[in-house]
Amino acid sequence: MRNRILTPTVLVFALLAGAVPAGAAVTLRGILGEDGPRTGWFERYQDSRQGPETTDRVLQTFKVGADGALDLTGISGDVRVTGGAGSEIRVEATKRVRHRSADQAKRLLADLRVEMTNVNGRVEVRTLYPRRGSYGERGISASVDYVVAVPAGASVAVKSISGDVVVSGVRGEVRAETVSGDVNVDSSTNVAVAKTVSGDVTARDIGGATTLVLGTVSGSVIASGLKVRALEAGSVSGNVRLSGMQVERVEARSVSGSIEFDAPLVKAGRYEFTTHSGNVRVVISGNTGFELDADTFSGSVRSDVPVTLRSVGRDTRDRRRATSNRTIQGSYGDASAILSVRSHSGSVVITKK
Amino acid sequence: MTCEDFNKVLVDYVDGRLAPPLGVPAARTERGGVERAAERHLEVCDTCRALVTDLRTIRAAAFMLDRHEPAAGAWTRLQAAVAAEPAPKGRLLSMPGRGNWPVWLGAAAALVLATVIGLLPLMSRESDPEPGASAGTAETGVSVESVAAEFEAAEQHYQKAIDDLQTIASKDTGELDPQVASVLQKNLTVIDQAISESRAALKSQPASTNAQAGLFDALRTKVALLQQTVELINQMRQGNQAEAGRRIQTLSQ
Repeated sequence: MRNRILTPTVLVFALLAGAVPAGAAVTLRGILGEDGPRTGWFERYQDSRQGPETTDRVLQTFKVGADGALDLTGISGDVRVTGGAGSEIRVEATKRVRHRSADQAKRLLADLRVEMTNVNGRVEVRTLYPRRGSYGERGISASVDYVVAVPAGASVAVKSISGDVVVSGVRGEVRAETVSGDVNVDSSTNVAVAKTVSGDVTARDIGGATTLVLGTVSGSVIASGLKVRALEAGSVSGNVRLSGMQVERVEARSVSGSIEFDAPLVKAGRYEFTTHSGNVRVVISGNTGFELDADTFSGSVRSDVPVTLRSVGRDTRDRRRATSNRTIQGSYGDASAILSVRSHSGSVVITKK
Repeated sequence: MTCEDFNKVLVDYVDGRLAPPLGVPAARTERGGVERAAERHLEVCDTCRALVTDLRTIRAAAFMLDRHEPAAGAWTRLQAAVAAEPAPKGRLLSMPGRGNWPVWLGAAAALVLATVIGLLPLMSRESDPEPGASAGTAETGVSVESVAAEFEAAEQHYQKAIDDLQTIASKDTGELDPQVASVLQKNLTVIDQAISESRAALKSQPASTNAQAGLFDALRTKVALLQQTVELINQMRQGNQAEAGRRIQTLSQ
């Protein structure tokens, strides 16, 4: 993650380095392929600019029982938490620093601290950065990557500022948040929150005891295989894609992004999709009927599902609206679920699988 | 849980004091049960949900108020202004007295008065009591003119909340990593565009429910994003992580 954002200088450097080979994978390291003579160009660039990378690994294991808790606060660096067998929490922290002076790098590495405590089965991990001024000049960097193994039944709370957060195979409550980076949660049965500001949120095969919140500001929300009671998924400028899930209540929002929903509706469920300038596509599967209220201000609404239109409103204008290509209000089947779709200028499509 | 019940736990809920400690299953604690009940209520009650959103906004903003002390005469003027206004009827003001109101709520009095009071009439009008709730909680018989006026007032108060939060956020965005600040700013621009388009739509078709709902959605989203910005700034400051934020800047260089 730490090299994900490319500054103009880096981009120019990358472009000068040569064209992207056809079919080369675009990687987090940059826009060049993994193979070839230029492999590792980014590291070499960083070496020359910020000094070579110096690392130090810290490893600690805590006995917590089958349902302990992990509370990890990172600052910069990726965090990966995996649930598994056993009754211990094992934290592996890799500190990485760069400095042109080897002595300063060594000092910086020592000053970059990871504090770990275990109180009654709750393991707290804190990342402590050195005070500003100690290494005043620009161009140094410091980060800590974490790889943590927890008992599957443990609760996990991860907060980071810059870096990806990945949580997998956990049965206890999961809260995963970062500011700049992606959040990926999968194969976990009790997820409460997965959020970022700048990055994507991906949730696969997860459950939740209450309301699952998946949110980003600038990025997409992609979720599949969810089994939760309620889901709130939102982005400001990214898309929201929800598929193959069993959720009673869905509230998906975006301002400029599009929304896709492809899953069966649940009887008595409620599904609300709102975007300002994006499109909404709802693909219905299963036999549950629904009450439909689809509306757009300047876009279009189309339903491939045979909805029985109803007349609503107090005047003829409203009645016209019920059948216009900008509004569809009606019911399908047993009308047991509620489907509410709104876009200001995008198109709305309701279709059947 | 009814709206009245929810009001009793509202502050604790907003403060996160209903949540059980990490690692303790919610089902094992009474507080966890209350939180679940509160969340179930919020799922079905738009009014209380909006109230929670607004209070969270106020809470976030209130944490910053100690850095912006009001002028000596402000409280006197505020008191006079409040005394001059008829007391609004609404849930927030009918909440039972509490001895343990959090400090932030007291500190946020000005912001509360400036935003929530304005929203109360609209909240009350939209009140959707649950089965079993007392019949007297919902107001009826509102004229079209008063609805339009309330709509306008609500919009103004959202705007006021936005202005206040924006003032706080713009003063302190230096606490944030420049790239994060840039992302937030870009997205605020996206929301501003939505607000502007919704306003134009509403001007051309004042009766459009789509435009009305769209405008409030956009305003609410902006409040939420500004709240998030202020929270981020606050977190950076609390954890002395501004330094970290600055260091992060170097990582992408």
